[in-house]
Amino acid sequence: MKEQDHIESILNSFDGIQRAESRPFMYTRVRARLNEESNFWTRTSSIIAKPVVAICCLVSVITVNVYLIIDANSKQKAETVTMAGTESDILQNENFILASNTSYDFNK
Amino acid sequence: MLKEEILVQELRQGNEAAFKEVVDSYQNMVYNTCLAIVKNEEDAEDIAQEVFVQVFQSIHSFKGESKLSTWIYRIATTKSLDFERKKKRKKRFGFVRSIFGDDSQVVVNPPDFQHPGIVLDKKENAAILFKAIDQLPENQRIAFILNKVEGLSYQEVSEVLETSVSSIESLLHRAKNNLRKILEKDYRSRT
Repeated sequence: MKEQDHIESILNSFDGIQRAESRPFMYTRVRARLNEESNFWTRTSSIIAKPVVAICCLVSVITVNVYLIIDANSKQKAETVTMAGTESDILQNENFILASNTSYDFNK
Repeated sequence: MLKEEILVQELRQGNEAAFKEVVDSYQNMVYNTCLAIVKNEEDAEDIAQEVFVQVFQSIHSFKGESKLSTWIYRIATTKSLDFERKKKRKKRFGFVRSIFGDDSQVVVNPPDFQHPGIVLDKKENAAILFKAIDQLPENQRIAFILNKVEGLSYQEVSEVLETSVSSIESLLHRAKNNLRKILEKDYRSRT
């Protein structure tokens, strides 16, 4: 009984409650906050600071880097093949020249 | 109602005097609601300012289907609950960091909340009740605070929470039952 009375008194402790009052000059503070929020740099930094934006930027940077690395690797392979082709052409030309020289010398 | 319509119209046009009137008329209502939810005067003051900033920025989305005060109550309760959720997340994250040896600031349990509007002889019991309210599900908590602290009728609470009066009756009934259980448990643990 004592327990129930105690609990009832707690449940009724809000009876007669008065509204709490905010500090004076609330409008001034709200106005100042609105002016601060309309500042360009504040708005920009609040957008950049969002986790979603930061994560998207990070993913974009990583994706671009991966693409550039893969692209660089494939270009390197293509150059190696091209260089190999060019070298064999040069060797063939040299052989031809050598062969030509030999024939010339022979004809002399 | 006509006066409110004119006020809303002027607010939409960015009229400073209209906005000042809204702030002056509703500041205590907003502050009291936020204070009952977050139980800290500085935080409640901060959130109240955010509420009015949002009122100013979002007035074009107010369709006039409900009273202006109802709409403002909704913003105040939403922002207060968001603040509470953020605070709980920080607490959890701080606990995880402490496990890994990060010497973050120690979170000390704040003293019991004393609402300035409670009469002196009921302050202690009110502090216990505020603590118990914290353990209720969010919808029961808000309904109880709007009804008991702000003094809204069931009809008014139902308009804020966008539900029926019978749902509010049921919500408050469950809230009281849950509070009883919490208080009984607390009483038995102390004695």
